[in-house]
Amino acid sequence: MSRSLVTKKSFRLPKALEKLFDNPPLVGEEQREDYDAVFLAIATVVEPEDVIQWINTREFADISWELQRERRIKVGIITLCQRRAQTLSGMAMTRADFARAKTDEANSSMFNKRVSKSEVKSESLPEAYLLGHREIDIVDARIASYLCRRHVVLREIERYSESLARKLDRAAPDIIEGEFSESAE
Amino acid sequence: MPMPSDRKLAANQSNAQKSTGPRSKAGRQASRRNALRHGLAIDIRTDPAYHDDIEQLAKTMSRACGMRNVSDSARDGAEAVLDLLRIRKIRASLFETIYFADTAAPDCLVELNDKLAKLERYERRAFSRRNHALRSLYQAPTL
Repeated sequence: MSRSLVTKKSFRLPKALEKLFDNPPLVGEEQREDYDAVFLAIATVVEPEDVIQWINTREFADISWELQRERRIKVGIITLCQRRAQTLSGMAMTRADFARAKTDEANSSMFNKRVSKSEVKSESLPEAYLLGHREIDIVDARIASYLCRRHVVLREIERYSESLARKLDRAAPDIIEGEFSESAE
Repeated sequence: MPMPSDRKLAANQSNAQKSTGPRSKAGRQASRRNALRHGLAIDIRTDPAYHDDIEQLAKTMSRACGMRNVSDSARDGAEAVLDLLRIRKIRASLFETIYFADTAAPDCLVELNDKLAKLERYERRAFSRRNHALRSLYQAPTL
């Protein structure tokens, strides 16, 4: 059974968030242990003390996780395109031939079989980019969007801490006065 | 265009009832994902499945900010947080059914990118709602 962050003594999620954050949306071969390790690493730095900070920490962890996923997918696309590029060159096919072959079921199936058997070689990288540039660009745009969003969350974490510090600062004289008058009595 | 006769309409309807769906591989591929509608156009606050979670989270967030009653910002924030979680689950299911089901399928990436682009519009909106609500919540003059 996977170990959850909830069981960690040093970083205990508030009860109200336990149910909500219990099942991170993992895909493919992603492991719960790895997700928890990322979350824990981030929580160790942020040191969340209340619900709002936990929500921000979780958001930061989720975005970081999805960012890594997109990076892995980008690698997957490039590798697939490298295989396709090598198969095309092995079959003396052009990119236009490939586009036509994709629409034909029998050709497409035969081509995909060859692609899966093809070994990745670094010299096919330029051709791979030409083949998959549209998909690679879209994944890059998503990565940029995640980076931007993660930066916003980071600012929110800072803002919240500053706001809390300001509130405590304003509250401090009252507390000190209260303590002083209490001890004087 | 001439209207079909009643007889022809009845025949069409009767034949449609007997239909077993698309036969070609492409047709079956397309219809396979008909049920994969994300349902994000429905406002989360009108979904009874989320009502209790929204209220519970809003209450906890309000308390964390030193409020006795649940504020509108807390409710907005809770809705946006849950909306983001909902969107992430949908995205994960898209990855599972489209991409990880067959990573070598020629057009799976095109389809995935298309659906993710639609999802991102909702996510961006929820994310900005979340930030706005949380900010107005913790900047409220209470402690």
